[in-house]
Amino acid sequence: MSQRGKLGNQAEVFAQQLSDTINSVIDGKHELMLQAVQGRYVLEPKRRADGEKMPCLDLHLPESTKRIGRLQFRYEMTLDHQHEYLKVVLSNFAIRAEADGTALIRLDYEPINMQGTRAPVSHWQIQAHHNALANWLTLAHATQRRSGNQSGRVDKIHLAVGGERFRPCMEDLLHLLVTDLGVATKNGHMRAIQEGRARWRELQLRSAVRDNPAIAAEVLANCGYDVTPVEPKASRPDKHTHY
Amino acid sequence: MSPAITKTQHSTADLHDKRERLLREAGLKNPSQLAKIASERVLTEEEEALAYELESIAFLLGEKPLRIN
Repeated sequence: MSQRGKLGNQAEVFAQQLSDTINSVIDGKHELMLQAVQGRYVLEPKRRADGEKMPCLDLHLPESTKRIGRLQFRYEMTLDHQHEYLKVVLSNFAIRAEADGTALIRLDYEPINMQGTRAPVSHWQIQAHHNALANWLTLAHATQRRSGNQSGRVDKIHLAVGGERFRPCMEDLLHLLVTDLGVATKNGHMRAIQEGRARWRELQLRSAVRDNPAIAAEVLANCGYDVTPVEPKASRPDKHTHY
Repeated sequence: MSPAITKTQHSTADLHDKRERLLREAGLKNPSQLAKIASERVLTEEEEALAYELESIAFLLGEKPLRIN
């Protein structure tokens, strides 16, 4: 099978697993759309009608049919640096208000080469307001232009979470929706969240090992394994230094 | 794939046409105009959806990463 064919399979498997998790957790039937062009993939909720502003999944509270909010997400995926594995190069998640679509809570992962130097590669942003924090942000901006912001907007703060390898996953957001925001779920939802999270962390662990095989070998040796380098690949310590 | 997933294979020509149409409908000449609006004020839901579409198209076409919002 060609490299592109293998990548396509990996993208489809990823999409399938994500769809299974979402459909096992959030009440209702949720459809996803996987767009492809020459080894590049975008995965997001399927737009239900041409007029729909933002493709999102419906969220409602138990025993209510009225939508209380929406879950929007988007993954951009291609091959990793070794041209072997599917790599998520960008992901955006947002829990949006029903009334006007405002992103109340966002979890974004953006490649280091895409953003300015301010925001961490993986971060939460929260729509909130407190006068003390708003004042602080405006004063900080007045003192140093790269700090704070003129409008005192708290949602412009980027809360760093684990960088490229140890960032939260969709399952963490689903967990938040279930436990803190009380959305309607399906039976067995927590098991689906845990299984999905375990899959994600295993993938990230594999990537972390590939980033620094020498450390992985050292730890394995400490665990009683006999690790002999044959054709060791170079470390990529930069993956663990980004904000 | 399960019916819960729809897979769409685009051609690059389709995507160029789609971007042109989206920009025309929004009264914009290029994506950077929307990025400029985003730097000045909060985007509306329609504008934010357009920003995501333009970012996705740029990615699928293998262009320089585009970050509007």
